[in-house]
Amino acid sequence: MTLIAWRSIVCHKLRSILLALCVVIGVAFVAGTFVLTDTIKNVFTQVFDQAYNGVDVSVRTRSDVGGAWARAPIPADVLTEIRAVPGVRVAEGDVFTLGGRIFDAANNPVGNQFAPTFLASWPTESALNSFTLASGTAPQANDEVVIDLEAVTAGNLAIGDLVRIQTTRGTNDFRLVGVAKFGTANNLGGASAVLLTMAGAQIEAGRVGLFDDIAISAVDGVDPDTLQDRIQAVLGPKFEALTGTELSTETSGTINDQMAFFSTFLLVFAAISLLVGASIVYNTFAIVVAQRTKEMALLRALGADGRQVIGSILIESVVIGLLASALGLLGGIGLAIGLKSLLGLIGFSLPAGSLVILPRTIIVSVIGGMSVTVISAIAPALRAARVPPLAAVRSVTMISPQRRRSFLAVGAVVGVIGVAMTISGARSTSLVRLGLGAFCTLCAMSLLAPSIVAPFVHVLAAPVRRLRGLSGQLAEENATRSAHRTANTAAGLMIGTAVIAAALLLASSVTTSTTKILDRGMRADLIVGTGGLAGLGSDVTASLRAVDGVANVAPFRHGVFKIGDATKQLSAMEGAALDVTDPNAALDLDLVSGSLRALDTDGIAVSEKIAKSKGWKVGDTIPAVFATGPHPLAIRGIFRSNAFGDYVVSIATHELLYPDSFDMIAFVQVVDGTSISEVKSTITTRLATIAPAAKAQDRVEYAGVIQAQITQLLNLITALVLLAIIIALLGVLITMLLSVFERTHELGLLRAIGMDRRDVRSMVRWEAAIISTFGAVLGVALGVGLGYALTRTLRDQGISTVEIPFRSLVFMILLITVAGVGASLYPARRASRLNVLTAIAAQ
Amino acid sequence: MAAARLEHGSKIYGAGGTAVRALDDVTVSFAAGRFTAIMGPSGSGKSTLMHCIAGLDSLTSGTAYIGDEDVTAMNERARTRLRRERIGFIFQSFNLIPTLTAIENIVLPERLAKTKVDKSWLETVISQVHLKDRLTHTPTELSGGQQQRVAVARALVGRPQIIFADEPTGNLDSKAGAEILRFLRRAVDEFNQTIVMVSHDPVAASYADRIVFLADGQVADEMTNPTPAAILDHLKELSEASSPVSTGMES
Repeated sequence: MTLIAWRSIVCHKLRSILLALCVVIGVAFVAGTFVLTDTIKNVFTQVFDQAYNGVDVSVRTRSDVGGAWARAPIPADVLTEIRAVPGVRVAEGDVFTLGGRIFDAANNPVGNQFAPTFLASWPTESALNSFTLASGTAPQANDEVVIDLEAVTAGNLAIGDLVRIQTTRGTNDFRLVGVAKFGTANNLGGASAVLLTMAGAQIEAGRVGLFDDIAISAVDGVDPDTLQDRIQAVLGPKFEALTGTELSTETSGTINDQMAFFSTFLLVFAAISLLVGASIVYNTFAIVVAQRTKEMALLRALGADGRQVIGSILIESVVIGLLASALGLLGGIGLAIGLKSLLGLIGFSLPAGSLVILPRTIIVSVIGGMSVTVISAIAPALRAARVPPLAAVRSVTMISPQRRRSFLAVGAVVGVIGVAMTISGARSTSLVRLGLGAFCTLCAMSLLAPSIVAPFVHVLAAPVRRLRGLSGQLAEENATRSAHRTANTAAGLMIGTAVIAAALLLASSVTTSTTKILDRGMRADLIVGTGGLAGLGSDVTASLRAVDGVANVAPFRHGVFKIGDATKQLSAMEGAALDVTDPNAALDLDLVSGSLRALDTDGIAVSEKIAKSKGWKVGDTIPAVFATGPHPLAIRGIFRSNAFGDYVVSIATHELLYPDSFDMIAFVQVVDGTSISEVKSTITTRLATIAPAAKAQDRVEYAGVIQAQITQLLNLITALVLLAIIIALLGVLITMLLSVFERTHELGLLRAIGMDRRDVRSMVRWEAAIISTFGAVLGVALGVGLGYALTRTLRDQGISTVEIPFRSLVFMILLITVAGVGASLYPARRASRLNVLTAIAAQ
Repeated sequence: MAAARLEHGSKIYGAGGTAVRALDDVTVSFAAGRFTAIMGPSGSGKSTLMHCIAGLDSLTSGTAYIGDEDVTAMNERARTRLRRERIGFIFQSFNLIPTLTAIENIVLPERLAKTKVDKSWLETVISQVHLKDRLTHTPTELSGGQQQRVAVARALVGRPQIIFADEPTGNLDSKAGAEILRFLRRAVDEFNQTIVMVSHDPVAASYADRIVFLADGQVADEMTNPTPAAILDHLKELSEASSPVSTGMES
C-alpha cells in the first residue's frame, strides 16, 4: 500500500507539490514566528545577563503599581546607608529614565520613532556599568554625552560634534565624547540611550539629589544573596534589593511577555493559513479519491480490505505532510532570518547571535503540518474505503459525495450556535466568545456553502452567459456540476476574505468614530505633540503660551495607577480645560454629573461606563494606589466620552503623584478672530528650537495621523492574511487542474465539434472566476457580519459608529476574482492544448 | 469436487413493479481444472452469476460456494480474504493500477495479502505470457493486448482456486484476443487451473471445455467441447426460443 501511495505522489508530481506548498506556507508561518520570537528572547536574555554581570545587588523603591517607569526615586542619603553595610565593595547611584530625544545635524530625530530613548547617568565604576565604551571617553562635564553606537551611526554623528538632545528639562546641545555599546549589542534592544554624568543626568531628568537605582558590587567572597538580605534589612520595606540575576530575569521577563503577545498575534494568522491549507488538502483528496474510484474498486476486487485502501490514502497524506512540514520548518527558519534583518533595517537591530530553534518549534511545526494534511485526508480516505469492489466492473464512474441531510443539519446547528455566540459576545463585549462564535460561523458556512452554490452561481453567472455565450454557459454548468468541489475551493478564499473584510469594516468604523469624537469633543484649535513616547517635556507648554495669538495652552499628561489588582491608565488635564462653560475649554468630555472644574489634588473624574460598572457616584472615594504609594481620590465628576481615557485627574494631582510628570501633548486654543494657520506656523517655528521632535497639527491633520495609524495596522493585517489568500489561490489552481484532467474526454469532444482553443481557455477561466467570486462574496458577507459584531464588542473602546466601506469591499471582490482567474491561467492553457484525438480516447 | 457452484441462486434488482429478476433459481457447478464459458445474450444474467459466485455481489436467495465454503454466509472481511487468497480476476478493461509498473501490478495481490511470491512460478508465468521485456513499463506504455496479458499473469501468479474472467477479450482485436485465450487454455491444460469466463463471443467461448448458456436468468443449455460453428447454431436456436431477446453483440 505504501508503494501505491508513493506512486500516486510521484506520478502526480505537480499535484503533490502544489498540495505540499499549501501546507508549507502555513507551517513556515508557524515555525518562523517561533524561531523569530525565541531568537529575540534569547538575544535579550544574553544581553541583560552580560550587562548586569558586574551588579551583585540592585536597590530601588518598592512600587505596588509595577512597571519600570513608575517608581519613586531614591533619596541620595540611602546610598550612604548602603555603603556602610558590611560586604559592600562599591555602591553607586544611577539615573535611568525614559525621556530623551537625539537630533541629527538637520534637526531630525534619530532612531525609530516607536522605540523609546533612555536618559541615564554614566557609572564611574566599570563593574556597575552595563554599557561599555566602543570609542571615545566617558562624560566628564555636565554638557558631555555618550550615545549608543546604533544612534550614532543612524544620526551620522561623530565624536566632538555638538548634538541636540531633548530631555524632560528642555532641548540643549551636548558635546559627544564617547560611543557606547550595551553588552555586545549596539543599542539597548532598539532603544537609544543618552548617557550623561551623574550631575548632568540628575539635572536633565529632574532628579537633583535623587537616584533611580543603586547598584552594588560585593566584596569578594560575599554571596550576592547574603548581601541582598543584609541590605534589605537595613533599608526596610520602602525599598527593595534584588540580586543581579533577579534583575536580569525580571528584565528579560518583561521582554518575554511582549514577545508572547507578539507571537500570539502572529500565530492567529498562522492558524488561519493552516486552516485554509487544511481545506485545500481536504478538497484535493476528495476530488482525487473520486477520480480514482475505479482504482479503489480494483484494489478491493484483488483482495485489498478497507483498511488497506484507507492506508494507501493516509500514507500518501503522511508523506506529503512530512515533506511539507520539513520544508515549512526550513522555510520558517529562512523567514525568521529575513524578518530579523528586516527589523534591523527599520532600526530594531538585534545583536549578533545564532538562531534559536527549540525542540518545541520543530515538534509544533511537524505535528501542525502533519495533522493538517492527515486529518484533512481522513474523510476522503473513509469514502474511498466504501467503494464496493463491484464498481471495478460496473460503470460506476465516480463516487461524488452526495449532499447528505445530516451534513446540512450539522451545518445549521453549528451555524446557529456560532451566530448566537457571536451576538452574545458582541452584547457582553467578550472578545473570546466573539472569536469562538466567528470560528463556528466560518465552519458552518463551509458546511452549508455547497447547498447555495447552484442558485448563487446562477445569479452570479448571468452576465457571464450573456457576455461569453457558450463558453460562459459551460463555465457555469461546470461550476455547479459538483457543488461540493466549488464550495470547498471557494471556502479557502472565503476565510481569508472574511478576515480582511472584518478588518476593513473595523478600520473604517474606527476612523469614522474618531472623526466624530474629534468633531464633537475636540474644542482645541491645534494639537502639539511628538508622536513618540518622550512627550513634550515640561518647558514647551509655557513657551507656547507666550506665542502671539494663543489664547490658552492646556497640557495633557498620562500615567498608570492601580485600583485593587487592576492596573489602569490615567489622563491628566487642567480642570478648566475640561469645563465647557469656559471659553478656553480644550475638550468636551460630555459631563453627566458633578463638575470637572472642581478637580483638586484629592479628586478624580471617571467615565460613565466605569462608574456604572463599579456602582460609583459623585462624592464616592476610590482606593487608588500609585507608584509613590496609596492616594485615595474622591469622584468629583462623571463624564460620558471616554475617548481620552476613563480616569482623569488634574495636572497638579499628576505632579504630586508621579516622579516624572511631564506633558505628553498640549492643546492650543487660538484667540478668537486669529487665523489658526498663522498661529500654527508661528508655533512650528518656535518648536524647531525648543522641541524639534514636536509638531503642531490642526484637527484635520490630527485626524489624518490617527487614520494613518489605523491604515498601517490594517495593512499589516492584510499582509498577514495575504498568505492565507495565496494558499486559497493555490487551491483554485489545483481544483482547476484536476477538473481539466477529469474532463479530458469531454474537452476533446468539445474541440472535435468545433470549439476553438480560445473558447476552451475562456471556459476554464470563467469557471475559476465564478468560483473565486463566490468565495469572495461569501467572505465579504461573513466578514461584514463579523466585523459588525466586532465593532459592537469594542463599542466601549470608542467605536461609536459602524461604517461599511462599500467601495473597498467591492474592490476586494474584484481583486480576488482577478487573482482567481490568474490562478486558472495554467490549467486553462493546459486544457486548450489537449490533443483532440487522444483526449477523446481518454476514459 | 467442483471448484465453485451455485445452488438455487436468485438475484433480484430493485423492488415492486420495477424489480428485475437477473438470476432465477439457478443451480450450476464448475469443475476444478476445467475451462468453463458462460454465454448468453445481454441481460441474461451471466455477469451477475459470476459476480455472485465470486463474492462481488450478494444473492437475494440461494447459496454460492467456492470449493466447499459458503460465500453467501460470509461477511465482507471474509469475502475480502476469499478474493485475496482463492480467486483471480480478469476484467474487460481497467485491470491495472495506472501508477504501478507491469511487474508491480502482477504481484499486487500477493502484496495485498502480504504473502511471499513464488519466484520460479512467477518467472514461468511471465515467460508464458511473453512479458519479460515489458515488466518495468506502466500500463499507459503498454498496448491493450499487453495490458490484458499483465492481467492474466496477475491472475495466474497467486495460483488461485478459480479465475473469473469477465469478457477478457472484449476490448481487443481478434489477434490479441486469440493470444489471451491461448494463454488461458494453456493454464488449464498445463497447470490444471480452473477458469470461468463470461463471453458473448462464440470464438472466445470455443476455447472452453464446456459452455453454460444462460437466458432470462436461467440455465438454458450446456455444451461440451464446443466449436465456434456449433456455438453459433446453438445461440441461434436459443434466441429463436426466447425471442424477442436478440443475440446482442454489445457488452
